[in-house]
Amino acid sequence: MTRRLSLETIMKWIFMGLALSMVSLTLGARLHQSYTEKRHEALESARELKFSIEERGLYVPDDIILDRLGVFWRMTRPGEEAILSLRSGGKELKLTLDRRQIITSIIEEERYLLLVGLLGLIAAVELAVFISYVLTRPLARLAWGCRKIAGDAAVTLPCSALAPYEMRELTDSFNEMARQLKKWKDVQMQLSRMDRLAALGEMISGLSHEIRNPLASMRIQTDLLRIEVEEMAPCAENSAAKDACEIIGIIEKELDRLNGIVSQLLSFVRPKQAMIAPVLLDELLPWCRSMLGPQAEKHGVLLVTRQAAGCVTVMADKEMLQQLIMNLSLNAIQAMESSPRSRECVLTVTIGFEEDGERGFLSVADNGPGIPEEIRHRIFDPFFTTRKEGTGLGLSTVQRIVEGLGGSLSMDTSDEGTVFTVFLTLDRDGPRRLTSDDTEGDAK
Amino acid sequence: MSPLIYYLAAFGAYTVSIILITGQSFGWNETKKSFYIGSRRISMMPSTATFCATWISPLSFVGYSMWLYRDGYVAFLASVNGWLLGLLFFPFIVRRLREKYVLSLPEWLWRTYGDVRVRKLVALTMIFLYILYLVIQFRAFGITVSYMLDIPSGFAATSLIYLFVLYTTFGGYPSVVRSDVLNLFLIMIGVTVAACFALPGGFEPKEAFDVILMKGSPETARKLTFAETFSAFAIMLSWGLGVAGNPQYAVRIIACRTKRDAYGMLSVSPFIVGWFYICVTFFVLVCKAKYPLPGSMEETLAFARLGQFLPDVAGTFLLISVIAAAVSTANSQLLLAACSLCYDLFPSRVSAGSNEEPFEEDRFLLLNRVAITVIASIALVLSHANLPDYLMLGRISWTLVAICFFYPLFFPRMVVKDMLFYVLSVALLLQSVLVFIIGISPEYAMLAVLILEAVLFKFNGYFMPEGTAWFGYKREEPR
Repeated sequence: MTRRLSLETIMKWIFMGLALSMVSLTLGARLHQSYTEKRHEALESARELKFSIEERGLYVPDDIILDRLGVFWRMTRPGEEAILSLRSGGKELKLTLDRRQIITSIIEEERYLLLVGLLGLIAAVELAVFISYVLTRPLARLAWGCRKIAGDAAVTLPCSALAPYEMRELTDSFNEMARQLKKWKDVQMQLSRMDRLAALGEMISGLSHEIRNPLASMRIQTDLLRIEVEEMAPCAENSAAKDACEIIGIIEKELDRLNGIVSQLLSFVRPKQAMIAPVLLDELLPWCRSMLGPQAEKHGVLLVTRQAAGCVTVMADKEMLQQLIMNLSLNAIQAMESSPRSRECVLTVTIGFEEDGERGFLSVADNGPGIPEEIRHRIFDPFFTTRKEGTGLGLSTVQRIVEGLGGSLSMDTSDEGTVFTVFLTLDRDGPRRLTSDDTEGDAK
Repeated sequence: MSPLIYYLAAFGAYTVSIILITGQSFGWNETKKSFYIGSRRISMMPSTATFCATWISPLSFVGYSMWLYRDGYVAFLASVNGWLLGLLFFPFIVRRLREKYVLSLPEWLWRTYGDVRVRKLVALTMIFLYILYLVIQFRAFGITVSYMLDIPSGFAATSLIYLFVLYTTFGGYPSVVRSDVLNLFLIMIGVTVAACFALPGGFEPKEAFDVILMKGSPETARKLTFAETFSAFAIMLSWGLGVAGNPQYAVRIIACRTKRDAYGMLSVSPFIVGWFYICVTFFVLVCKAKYPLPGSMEETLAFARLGQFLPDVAGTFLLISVIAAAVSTANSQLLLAACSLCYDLFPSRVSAGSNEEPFEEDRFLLLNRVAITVIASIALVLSHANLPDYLMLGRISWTLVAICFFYPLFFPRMVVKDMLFYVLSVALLLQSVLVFIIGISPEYAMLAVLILEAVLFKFNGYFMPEGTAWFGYKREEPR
């Protein structure tokens, strides 16, 4: 198996090789130069000595000649070729240069240079490591980011201050690509959801129609049956008739419930056209208190309505907004049923302006146990419910209404509770906004 | 051939080996855990190598050798026995240290005793004592290199270790371990070769035996006085306790892959360290018997001179082993000092470290590298200041280590959590006064301070009735 080498390793080795070569080359050149100079000096002085001895025909003892020549010269060994032959007193002296002595002398003289060379080498290698790190680190991050995106995770890469311009550009482009990919994925999810809803709607629409007609007929017949029974034997006098009336009452109730579900299904698949008009959200708060108050009280929930700002006029359909608030609030009340008994359950409906003042908002918050992470992505799916009696259309309808009104819906959930916030376009021609002094009202 | 050529060749080879073998780099996915303790993935053999290489510092090498050369076996009694005594304590703290999943010993103290002030106090002390210790390494390295290359001992010589140490410490603990493997190998080769070639006529068992018995040496006949015996005993005890509480070794125990590796490391290390002391002791005893040195000489220089009596190649190995000992100890201490500064002294700067993103801790690790450079620079400057000799610096450091860590590490039941910070503060203050102002020997001062610590813990009820908080401080249990 071949070992995969990282770019950093390759760069590091290349830089280190370069540093080592440069130091070796510089030191080698300097040492070679010193060697050449010393050799030249030794030859020159030998030539002068030879000239003075041979010219004058002097006799000089061998040890004095060697002493005068210096440590770089020695007598030749048997079989060794002489560089210098010197005739003194009729005797021929064969001499050669002692390389070891020359090298020792050079090293002793150049030891500072060698030390500086070693210092330079270490410094160069440390620099090489640092350069490799700076250049390859952003690439490693990008590779990591790509792997994360491939694994379906959202990722934004930080840009190092040390990174060169090109790398910063690359990181920015990557982050932009990641953002676009996420957007594209959201759109794809929405499209797929719409496709599913369309198919579902078609099926439900046909089915509801087929169910609704016999249901209406059954309801009429049950009414007639109850009248008939009451006429034949008044309930007050006959206990059997009374029982029969009770049973008929239960059938009527169940038929009504069935009809309600079918109507809800039909309104989901064939929503009514939104009548967009300026709606003062402030007006919805009293409605909330009157409509939701009794329901909240029944479940032991404290209802709080809150105005983060006054005169919030948005472009919406008032009836639809009421349905939206009702769905979110009932959902919240039911969610709080599973809260610990020690905690006081509070349902808060708030209206106000978005931070930048561009849009108005309406939020419904509870302090229930929050939505488990594993089902968060499904809560807006039609027919998805965790309750036995639920239809699973509440939040789905809310999302559809918000989309129909051209707004946006956000959800923030934790162990401390859940907040659904609906952002809606402001009516620019509406009344001027008031100061953001909180005005609170609560009803239980 | 001139020894200078051997020395230069050996030194060049060592430089290139350090560069190529340690292969220092900044891992792209490094975290503080990988930087400080190698993500606790260091297996037994590298752990043993780094444990032993860190153990063998110029203090335990040159300092001990020259003391042995000067005073004979009393040095062995006081120092080697003391150090090996400290080694016996380690198996008792393996479990205790590893179960907390900490990155440093000050953090362990905090997690065990729940007082962040203890962590900071101990971290501050560690920075101080490791800077002192680094001075020993830098100085020994500088003098050895200046002797080897025959240059004056100045910044040029010392800056080499500065660069070596920075190079091997920037990569964090894994890089330190890699360089320690090389350094330990060189140290062991150096001392073994020195012991083998120490006798002038080659290794002769009979002659070696005579040397070990110090036959004919005046020290054999001399009996130690009570004061000398007590002094040696005090040094042995203080150095033993200093070793036992030394964060350098505690960190190596924490960094082992498993508990089994840690116990394995502690079982093998005495043999390696023991062999080292045998070789060094024999070499120095031979030198003591055969090669007298002139009276007053700087200890590293004197040791280098002893190496001169060996054949050139053996002498070269010996000097390279001193360099390796200095580098191996210095990089480990530098990493610990940086950890104390960045991680323990300013814990609020550390990111929560969920480690979900591999570059989450980049900035923090960069700070660590800056801290490494700063601490090394301070030590480099101080190594040229007129500080006391190795043994004195070592004694100051060991005693501070023992005062900070001995009771909390080995007698946790004795320690009163609420008092720990005050007891350590008083102990450190008292030690400083006794040593630096009154001028008492660090070992004697340390023994007194340790007794005081024990008394304070023992009679804590008297000093601090139950339920009261000192100066209103409320201890917080770490999460």
